[in-house]
Amino acid sequence: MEQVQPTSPSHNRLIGKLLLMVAGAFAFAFALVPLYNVLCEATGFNGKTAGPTVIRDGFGIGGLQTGSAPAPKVDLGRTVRVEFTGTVMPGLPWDMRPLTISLDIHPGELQQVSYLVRNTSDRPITGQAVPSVTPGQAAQHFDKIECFCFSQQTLAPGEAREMPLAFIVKPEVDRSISHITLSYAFFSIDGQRQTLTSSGEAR
Amino acid sequence: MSTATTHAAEHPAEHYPGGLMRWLTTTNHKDIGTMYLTFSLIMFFVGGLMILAVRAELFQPGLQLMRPEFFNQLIGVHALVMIFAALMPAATGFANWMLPLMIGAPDMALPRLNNWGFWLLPPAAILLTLPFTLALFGIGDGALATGWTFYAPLSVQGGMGVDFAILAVHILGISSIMGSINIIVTIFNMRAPGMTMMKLPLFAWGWLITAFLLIATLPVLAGAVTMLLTDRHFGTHFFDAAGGGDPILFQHLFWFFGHPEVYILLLPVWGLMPHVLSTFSRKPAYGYTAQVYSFIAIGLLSVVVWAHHFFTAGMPIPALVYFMFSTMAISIPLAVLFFCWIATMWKGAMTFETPMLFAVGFIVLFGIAGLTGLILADVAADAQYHHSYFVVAHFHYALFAGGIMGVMTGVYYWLPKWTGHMYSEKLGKLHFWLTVFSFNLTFIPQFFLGLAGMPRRIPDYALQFAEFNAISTLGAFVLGLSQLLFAWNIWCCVRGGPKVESRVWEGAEGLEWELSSPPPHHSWETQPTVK
Amino acid sequence: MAPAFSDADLARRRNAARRLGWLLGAAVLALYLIGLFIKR
Repeated sequence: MEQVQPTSPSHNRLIGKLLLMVAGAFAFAFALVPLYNVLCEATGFNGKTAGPTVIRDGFGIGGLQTGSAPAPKVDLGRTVRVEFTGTVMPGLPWDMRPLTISLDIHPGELQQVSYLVRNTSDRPITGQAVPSVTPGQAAQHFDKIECFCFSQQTLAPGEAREMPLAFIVKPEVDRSISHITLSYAFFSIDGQRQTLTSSGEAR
Repeated sequence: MSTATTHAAEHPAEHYPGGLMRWLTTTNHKDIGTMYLTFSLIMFFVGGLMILAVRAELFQPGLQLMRPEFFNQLIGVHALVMIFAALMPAATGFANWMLPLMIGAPDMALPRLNNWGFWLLPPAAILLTLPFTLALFGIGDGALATGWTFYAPLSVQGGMGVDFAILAVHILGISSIMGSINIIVTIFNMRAPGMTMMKLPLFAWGWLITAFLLIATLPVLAGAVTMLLTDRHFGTHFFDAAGGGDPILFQHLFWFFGHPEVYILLLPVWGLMPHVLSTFSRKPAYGYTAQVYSFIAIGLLSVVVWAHHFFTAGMPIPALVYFMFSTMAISIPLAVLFFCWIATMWKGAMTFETPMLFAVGFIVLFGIAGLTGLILADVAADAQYHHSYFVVAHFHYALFAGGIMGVMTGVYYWLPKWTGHMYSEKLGKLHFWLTVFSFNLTFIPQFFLGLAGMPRRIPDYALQFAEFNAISTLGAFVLGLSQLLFAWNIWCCVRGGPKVESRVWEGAEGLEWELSSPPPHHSWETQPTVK
Repeated sequence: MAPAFSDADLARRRNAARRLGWLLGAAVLALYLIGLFIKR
């Protein structure tokens, strides 16, 4: 019926360009994943904190604060209240609570606190804690020297363990920040992800 | 689908396969446009039925009709059906029918791709709704229950309905991208001699920007749901905090697509409005160039404001401020459009046929959508109104009054051109007044519910919200039932009615009104020239 | 089919549209001016 003409060369050139745009946009979505992580770690966007901070050479988080002083000065002129909290995610039969609920500190002071974590099941389980700092702007000035979240933790059946955390809130933290909340989410890393079923969710 | 009979009657010499094969194999832009519009109308009622069930549940506090899980499935699938299977195909149907007529082209540039693009839609719609049926037979636990936004980690943990929805979104996305490529190539390469870009009808301009937005953002959604799929089944951790991923990343990816999507739905309607307003005001459209540049400005701004959809997810203050101001900046080109629409009517010899009623109703109600949107764009106010019924009312003013009533404007305006028959003005006007009345009856109470603190997406609510929810449900049922008038009017118009001339409306200008009504099977066999 | 409108009718509609335009414009301006005097 219809006399469908073969597509003309000018059509094909334009289609080619448009398809390139489509491919570019698709690739852009995946490129956003690493870009987003870099952005978050550089700006503390979203409360993401970096890995361990090595204190002796004064090397800052993510290697970005290379200009910072070898030993951070303590800013005695103000105090910041740091609050600790934690959640055990579904699928991990553990209890956790901070042994210190909150702490008033001077920025620059090295502090140590610990969490009490207990395996309530009758089998050994491995978990991983993921930290988050609120407000997000404080995250890049919250340096953890030692943390149980740097590695996976395995607890024997019924075992309770004090898990230590040493940190410094750097003096560069914005003066408007008077409270910082550090929160941990403990995840099971034993593979099977919990699937919510309509029946299971309701009970 | 009886435009078939009209075509056949007027072109006895045409020989194409009869019956179903004609529709399966057609590459004619009018047939494909008809199929898009029919599909859209059917899915409009499917999505409408879902939300009537939701409103019935919300008629009274407490759980009467359904389990909360089923409620969650209905709201999410309602949104996906209305956006991807009702509004977007309706706009594509308009483009298929009208673009070649308007720009003096014999057909769309890529007719076979066009056919394929349409026939991807029904399978996708089936995939989207199939889990409901499967659950009846005890397979799986029903459709996607995360709301249409697929937010991780809920969508990572959800049942198999999520997988069906991911697949459906992929197919719908491929279909839309093929449609967009076709439209861009048609507009760039197939215009009649003498029709420069700045003489292009505004409807074509609106669709051109829509098509570019689709090409730039739909692949990002496809990427995001692909990551979701691999997170669910192949052990990746894009959105899983336990594995170093980040659920907030999903919100960024989703709304990078999701916000431009609003303009993808609305730009074709904004393009159509000046045509209708100018016809029934018997005046040329005011500010053609200003409207074109406003379309372009809105298209560009729409891809840099996405994070205002999750102000409360936690963001540094500078980011909040940036997204607030860039969002509010969109109101400037939008205000230019409103000014042009109103100025087109000013001093015009206005008559109020059904399309004009819908166009004026569109301006008033869509204005409310814009103003309530400014409130939500304000970071400080949004902290209170986020995820409340205020948001629901706001985006229904944008997408029902702005989107669907805009599509109805177009249907009433062009239906005589498509069928060669006049629809019933009496029924059309009744449909308009019932729609406007019941639409406001449904959604004005929801503004107040939101201000009073009722959250979205809940099947049960506190007693203090009972009266307004009852009113809203009443309005929703009147709104739903009055759409039957719309379908009946279209049906009767397709079947027969008073014959119309080629220039259906006395004030209508443009190439499309120079072809007979209905247009011949092959439009513009000799290409017109534009001076 | 669009009903035919006489020239006199169309002229009357043009005037009505002009008057209504001024009226709505004045109403909006009045609201704006009143708003300036509302103390929050």
